[in-house]
Amino acid sequence: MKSKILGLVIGILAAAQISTAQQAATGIAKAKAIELTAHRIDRLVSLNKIDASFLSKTAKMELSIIENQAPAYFKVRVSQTQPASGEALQMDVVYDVNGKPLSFNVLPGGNAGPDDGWTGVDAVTLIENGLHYVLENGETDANVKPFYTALTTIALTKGQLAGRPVALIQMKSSESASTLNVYVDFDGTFISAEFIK
Amino acid sequence: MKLGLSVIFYLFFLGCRNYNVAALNNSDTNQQTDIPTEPIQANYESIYKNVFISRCVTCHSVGNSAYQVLLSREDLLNSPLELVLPGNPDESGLIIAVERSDHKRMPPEKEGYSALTSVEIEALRKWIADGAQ
Repeated sequence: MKSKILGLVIGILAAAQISTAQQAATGIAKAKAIELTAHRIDRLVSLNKIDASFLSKTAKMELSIIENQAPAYFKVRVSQTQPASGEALQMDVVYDVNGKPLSFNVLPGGNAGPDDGWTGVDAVTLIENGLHYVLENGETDANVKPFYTALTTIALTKGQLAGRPVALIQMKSSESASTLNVYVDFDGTFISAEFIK
Repeated sequence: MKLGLSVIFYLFFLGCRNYNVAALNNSDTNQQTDIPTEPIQANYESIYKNVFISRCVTCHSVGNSAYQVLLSREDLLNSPLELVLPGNPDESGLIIAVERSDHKRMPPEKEGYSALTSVEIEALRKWIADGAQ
């Protein structure tokens, strides 16, 4: 009788464990992990833990999945543009599957392109505002969904829209052959989005 | 028998507690202008009632613009944004958001909201420093 009860208890605990693991595996969307990185940069700069140039000069974020190193799951590499003086930087930020930040590591060698010298809101805010288009439409719009669930890269450059300069946020997904271009005013206001084949 | 009574009493206590929290949460959007003022205590219930309801939940509640950041104690403690780090107010996102002076300050100045008062911030800080229970 005792062994039956023990078996039952073990069975229940195992089922609970499997259920928890399955729940954890779902986690956050990849676009959300990149948005969390924008917030993470802001936080780390506020706390003087990283150089403030990450706010003004960030030009690219690339997401990858870390295999077999639980709880680490998402790694986002942040790259700066080349500053007029000094060394451009990169940073790796690591999260668990639910987006809890686990670590950050500043590295030399960021060089995503020429410095754009953003004059309105900072580069990280522009990237974040572009991402909001994906976060707000990713669950309902079939065209946006691949960029919500499988975003791999987001890059910020200066672009042109109807003859005026704008911030161009370009996103790539591992589940789409298209590039998603989001246009944002220098003050961070969303303008429009389009898919480029 | 005694055990049974204890269990019933405990369940009744839990029910009352949940009812009170639910009542607080349900008052999110409808009663923001009629909140009686009272001294803010450095505990979650007092902060929710005297700070969050009057200053934050217009946006930070389900169905409103900032629904992604909710202000229940569980949401604050579990947010990947590390809004509340028990024992560490200086690095808690909630404190950083209300104390900063740039365009990212909460409540947002550009939408006409004033900053939290020093009394309100101090209550938040003390609650977090004391473990955010």
